Amino acid sequence: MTKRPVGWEEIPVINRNLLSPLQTTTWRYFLWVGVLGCFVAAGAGAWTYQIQTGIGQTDLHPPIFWGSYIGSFVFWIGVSHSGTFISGVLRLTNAEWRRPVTRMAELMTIVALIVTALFVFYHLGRVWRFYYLIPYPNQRELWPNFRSPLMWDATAIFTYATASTIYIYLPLIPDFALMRDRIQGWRKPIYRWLAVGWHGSQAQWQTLETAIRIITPLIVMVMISVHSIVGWDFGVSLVPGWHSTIFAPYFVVGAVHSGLGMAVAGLYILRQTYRLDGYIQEKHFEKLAQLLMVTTLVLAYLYFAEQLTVWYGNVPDHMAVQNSLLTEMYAVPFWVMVGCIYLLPLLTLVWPRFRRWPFGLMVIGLIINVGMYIERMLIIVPSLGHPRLSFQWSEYFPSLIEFTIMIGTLAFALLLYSLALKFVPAISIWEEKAGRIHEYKTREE
Amino acid sequence: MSQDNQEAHEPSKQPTWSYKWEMVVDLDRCSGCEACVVACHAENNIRISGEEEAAQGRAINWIRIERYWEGEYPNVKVKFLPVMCQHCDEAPCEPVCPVYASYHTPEGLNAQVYNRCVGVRYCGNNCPYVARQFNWFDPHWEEPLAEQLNPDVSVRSGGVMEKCTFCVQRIRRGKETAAKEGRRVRDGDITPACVQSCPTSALIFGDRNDPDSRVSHLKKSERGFHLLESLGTHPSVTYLRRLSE
Amino acid sequence: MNTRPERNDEQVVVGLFDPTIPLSPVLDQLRCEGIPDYRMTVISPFPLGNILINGPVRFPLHRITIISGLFGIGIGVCLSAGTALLYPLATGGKPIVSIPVVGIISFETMMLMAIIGTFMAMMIRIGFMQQSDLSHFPRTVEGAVGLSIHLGDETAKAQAISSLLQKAGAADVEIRTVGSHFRNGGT
Repeated sequence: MTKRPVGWEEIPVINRNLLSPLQTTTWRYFLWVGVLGCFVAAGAGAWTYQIQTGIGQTDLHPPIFWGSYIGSFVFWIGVSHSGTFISGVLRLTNAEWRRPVTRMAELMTIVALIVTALFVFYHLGRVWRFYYLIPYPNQRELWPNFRSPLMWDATAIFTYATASTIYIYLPLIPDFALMRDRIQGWRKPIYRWLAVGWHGSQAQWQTLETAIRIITPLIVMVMISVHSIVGWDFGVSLVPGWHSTIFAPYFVVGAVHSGLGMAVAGLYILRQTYRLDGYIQEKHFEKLAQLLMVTTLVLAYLYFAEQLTVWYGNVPDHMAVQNSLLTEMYAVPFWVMVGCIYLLPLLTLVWPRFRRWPFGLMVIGLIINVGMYIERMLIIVPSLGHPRLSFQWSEYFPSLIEFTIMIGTLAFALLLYSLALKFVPAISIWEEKAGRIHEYKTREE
Repeated sequence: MSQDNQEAHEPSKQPTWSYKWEMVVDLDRCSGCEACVVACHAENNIRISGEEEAAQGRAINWIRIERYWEGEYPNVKVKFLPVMCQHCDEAPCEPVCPVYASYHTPEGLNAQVYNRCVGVRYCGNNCPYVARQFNWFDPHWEEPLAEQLNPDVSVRSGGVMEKCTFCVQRIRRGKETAAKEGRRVRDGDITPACVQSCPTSALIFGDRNDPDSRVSHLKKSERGFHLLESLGTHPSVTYLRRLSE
Repeated sequence: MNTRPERNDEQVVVGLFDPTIPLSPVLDQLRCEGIPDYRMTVISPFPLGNILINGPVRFPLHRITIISGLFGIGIGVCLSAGTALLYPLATGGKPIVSIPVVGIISFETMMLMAIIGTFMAMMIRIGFMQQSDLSHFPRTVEGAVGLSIHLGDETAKAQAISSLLQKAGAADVEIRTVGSHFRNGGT
């Protein structure tokens, strides 16, 4: 573990440690980026092919009009909740341990939101007409229909994306100023521009902190509203299995669940790659593991409440969906999902020693995300596959093109994240410094 | 103002009569011959999907005959249920469209504007009757089949939703003819392709606002019911129960 | 730019402190020496929190948040209710102006505008607080807290102040002469 000196002397060390990923790049990084680039190219090719030939390249067919793209959309917007939840809620509650975790989680939010938007485009039947969804005075003399939940979605995601960008940028300003002073080359003018003349006077700090203090509760509310609206996309429809009041809270908690899982995994990988042991410590993993335990329990509770209501109510339309999950067509993915997002996390995270084992937590974080991906698909497909007129019952499995696009997009997300790490430090440098000094002072007292 | 806008596309400058187009399906008469399906394909330039796509469940049919089997072999009974867009008064598919491609005309038709559609397909999910069909690919007709396309009906490109229109082109023409003669559309003036081709006259189409139309009479029948009535979609298609059980 | 030629040779005393040294007593001493608050600037690599110069910052950012939030509600109502009324198309039994929809859209646009408004106001304010001479203070980047005192016309005090800073525990004190592009902005 890196030695952790205290006081003035340790600040140059923090600068050096946290800026080094931006200044030195190994061949392994280039290899990684190159490999990701190949996957991205494959995904882009698949999408181009789909646009050229038609959305029929998917396995979608009536009555299953939504499939893997919408499932991925819901999944990725769930991942985007990692940053907002961790940095928003923890800032709001003044949790000191958040400091080394916020930036990397916020970066995850931005990347996940970009990817989320991509899946909307993959999904559209006529993607070249996407601008029909944008409200602006146009020659068609037609505004979009805000009564559609999809427009609520568009509005909410636009708000969320804008707010998240602002929210990651605010605490970056002092770091941009630092990089402006420390990093030479092509990035310097960009940093100078982004640092907006930051020099660190107390008046500037107070203004910045006031802005962060005001925006934090707002963005937490936006976060909750965004995933509620995504839940309502399903909840307000008539489809058996979707039409349920529990969808909004269930989606919010599910999103935080997968977001936290992704954050734990990302944190571990970053820590190993850039040797940040001195910054990301076991206690951070432990806190995140405790939060994961909470989301696992809440999610299991909500899921049980929903399924129990359906089972006891025994309405045939709804039972058809539930039966297909529990025992029939989708039983295998369903039980895998239950294992991944409820049982395994519960069985492991209850052990205090496990909660302090970063590698184990990374594995659990990834397993949770695999489970949540399956879960998003299982929300969509079995419900759509069992419409009330049983003549139309159908099944669905993503096609090769869909898989290529999904994997390519995952690679794109990783690529964006990797590139971002060369432009912004993965840990908020000034917050880390403030934390150290704070720790030092409290220890002296 | 609202009336003006909605009526703007009506070519008629004559005094307008208000119509409410409805259909009645007499299940007792339906033999499941699917003549309606063929007629609908011919009339409405419906994309030919081919064998492979049909196997994937992508064959586009604006009207389909659903078959439900009752009993165990050898005492099996088959029940036919023709299902097309029910033109619901409170259509679940309409408000979910973000671009107004799906909206309600003043005559009670559930209209689909192909040019507006961007293909989010929410309407297809939210239709409990699975009446909506999607163009998964661009349409293609082998020569000389392309020569037989109906000039009154637009050919839909890939990526848009479509569904039964109650043969709105025939309704238009019927109304124009009646307007030229300065009268209301008479019962029987307008017959959608499926109604016209039904050998057993199981399908009846007409104006609900005309109290003497056959549709108005049959709707009051004791045998009448709506498909998935409990959902409160108020369909414009009334089914008549089978007599012989 | 408020540059006056007679101020070309203005002197600035700069002291660098270990971040763990409390600065408030130093500031009090300087005030006793007759240095007004607006001549002092504290620059630090992280917020010091308890240091007050010129009293607490009076900047009603939350008012801007509220006003832009209200503006956002207006945008939301215009989009969800206004555009629906502009071209009223009936859809499946939903009223042209649906109250829950107006609520949802207005909530989102309210949040959007509130956050953007707050952000813009903050950016403008931070941007206006630039001080060209002090923006490069390399050692604050390395962790020192910088305290700079603009002497103005009282150049005679330079030595007294620098020894005062040294006594207070400053690691490094220097007297700089500031160029003509100096602008007395900031706090």
